[in-house]
Amino acid sequence: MKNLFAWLVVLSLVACADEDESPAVQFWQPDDFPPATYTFQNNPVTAPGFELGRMLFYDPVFSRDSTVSCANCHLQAVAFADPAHKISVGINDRIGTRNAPPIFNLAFKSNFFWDGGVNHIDFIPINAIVNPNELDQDIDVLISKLNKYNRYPQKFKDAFNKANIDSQQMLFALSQFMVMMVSANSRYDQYVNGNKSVLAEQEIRGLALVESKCTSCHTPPLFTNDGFANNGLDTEFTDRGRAIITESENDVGKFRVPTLRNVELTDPYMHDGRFRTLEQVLTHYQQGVKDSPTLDPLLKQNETPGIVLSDTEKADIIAFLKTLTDRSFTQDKRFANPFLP
Amino acid sequence: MLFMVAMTVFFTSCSEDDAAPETGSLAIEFDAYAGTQNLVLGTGVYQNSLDQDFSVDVLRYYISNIRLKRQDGTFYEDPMSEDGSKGYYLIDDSDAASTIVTLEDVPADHYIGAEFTIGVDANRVSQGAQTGALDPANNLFWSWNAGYIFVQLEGTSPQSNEEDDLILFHVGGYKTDVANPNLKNNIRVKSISFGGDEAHVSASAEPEIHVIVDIKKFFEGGTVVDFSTTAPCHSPTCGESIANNYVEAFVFDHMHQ
Ligand code: HEC
Ligand code: HEC
Repeated sequence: MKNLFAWLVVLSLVACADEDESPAVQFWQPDDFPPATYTFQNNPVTAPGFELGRMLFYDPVFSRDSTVSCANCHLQAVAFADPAHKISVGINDRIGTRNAPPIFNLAFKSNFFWDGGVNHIDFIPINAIVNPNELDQDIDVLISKLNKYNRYPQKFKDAFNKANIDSQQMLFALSQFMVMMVSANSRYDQYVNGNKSVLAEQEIRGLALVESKCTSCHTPPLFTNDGFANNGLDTEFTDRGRAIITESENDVGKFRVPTLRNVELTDPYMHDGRFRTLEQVLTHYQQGVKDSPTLDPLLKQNETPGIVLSDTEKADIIAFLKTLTDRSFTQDKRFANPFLP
Repeated sequence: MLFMVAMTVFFTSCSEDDAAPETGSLAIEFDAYAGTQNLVLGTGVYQNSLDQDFSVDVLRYYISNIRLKRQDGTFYEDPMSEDGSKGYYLIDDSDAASTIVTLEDVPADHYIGAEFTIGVDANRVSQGAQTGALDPANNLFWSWNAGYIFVQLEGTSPQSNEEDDLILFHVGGYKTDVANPNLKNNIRVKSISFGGDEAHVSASAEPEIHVIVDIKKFFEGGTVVDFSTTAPCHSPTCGESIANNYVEAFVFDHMHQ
């Protein structure tokens, strides 16, 4: 009996062997980050699934006319944000309505898009695929394209071992690729982890300023509280933001608090990409904040709306923000275009 | 040899008791009506309670979490699979086969009623991408406000002020948040009793329950819907009153034993 048991163990080990992943596709949960919220139990990351998601992300087969891929609007060099367009341009140069946010640390959040309309990573690509301003393609058309495309059926089989490709496998593969994108190795992180010499004095002064003026919204370690706020960009909002989802007047003009990680790279800034530089952003908080019924109370504490900042303080804050840049993430070969040599 | 032994052990551990309980199947037919007339998609012309003419081109909805009530008040629950391919049913009135939901492997018993969700429970949405009836390729999924459209009714009315006289009702919305009382949860659970009858499920008998879905009731009851002002309706807040109306539209009619 003992022997048999041993044999069964061996058998089950063999059966599970291909789930034993190489370290390259181990999900990284940084110690100081909140626990991941992604449903890994339904969609564990595997080497073939991750590689497939990577191909899909970079493949223009995704758009109706096969010209645009996810990577057109989400570039690794700038932390998967869109540097070129204030407002994203999809197929036929149609203009979308919002600026593409960067992609990283998604696995730790539960509100996606500027209005929080999507609350599961698996559902994010659906929006991009069917949106007439982005990829403009029916999901079933895309799935039948993938089923016919030489490149894919075998890769899907290796990853999910099902007879035919369906949308769940496509979405799972993209999620596997995107949840693996963790950015937690900036100079700031090294500083927090004990290497005090990596930040210069000005940067440390900037950190203290950010902690006193910004972190109730841009809360570390993710540098967002994953909530929604009106930070005073307008008095009237053509894009109603969070109110589109909650249908509440109390939420008009509130947008998801974006992360400040890699913010040096992710210009243009704000949901509509109105600011080109961090100087402009800081000048906005210093003297451009506009009052409206939903303006965040934190920005209403002085006679005039905004945050009290001197010009040196602005410079210190910007110096600090640049310590949140994580080149090991933007240069990580695992996330690079697999179609390039 | 060892392999065979291992296989035997494996199979033994998976099989159930030798005396497997008797099971059978039970069908529920969702029969769409407009008042007293059978709903005819496309060409049928009906009136709402404001006497506004309308026609219906598309009627699709999700039924899920079906439970059958035993005489002692306990329930048999239709099993749901991990990936959403079982236990969720997309009823499309243009596809007759989809309007009959057949539950298999139902324990033999006498059932006196049923309960089901009109829509898709929130727990399932929070599990991410699904297959089968819940595949977003079925186009009953809101991409901008991620979640399923529970009930889709589209058609025309001369009273509509939309282009091509369109009337469009997409009811969804499952999100709740204490901080946001405005988020609407439009998931509705319907209980029906078999009117004193019993459905006897056994290996040899497949009872069929007929449920009438009266689409005129979508537009009356708690809230009277005026097609000149309330079409299109495709957000959770707008859908709330329609959802409150349509729970009353699902009515037990009769059963075949
Ligand atoms: C035409 C440009 C464009 C294309 C192509 C595109 N996106 Fe986006 N993406 C955007 C914009 C704009 C947003 C913000 C939308 C909003 O908030 O309403 C966005 C948002 C996102 C987000 C949410 C990030 C967050 O923090 O909320 C992710 C993830 C994402 N896209 C992934 C993808 C994937 C995967 C694809 C390919 C299937 C893709 N995108 C294709 C422009 C694009
Ligand atoms: C009341 C909450 C709140 C406070 C306080 C706040 N922010 Fe913001 N911040 C936001 C919101 C919300 C946005 C996005 C607004 C939009 O796009 O409509 C934003 C956007 C930004 C952006 C643009 C990021 C991007 O990717 O587009 C930067 C940079 C920024 N804030 C820096 C700061 C700094 C530095 C401070 C402190 C001096 C600060 N914020 C204080 C809520 C806040």
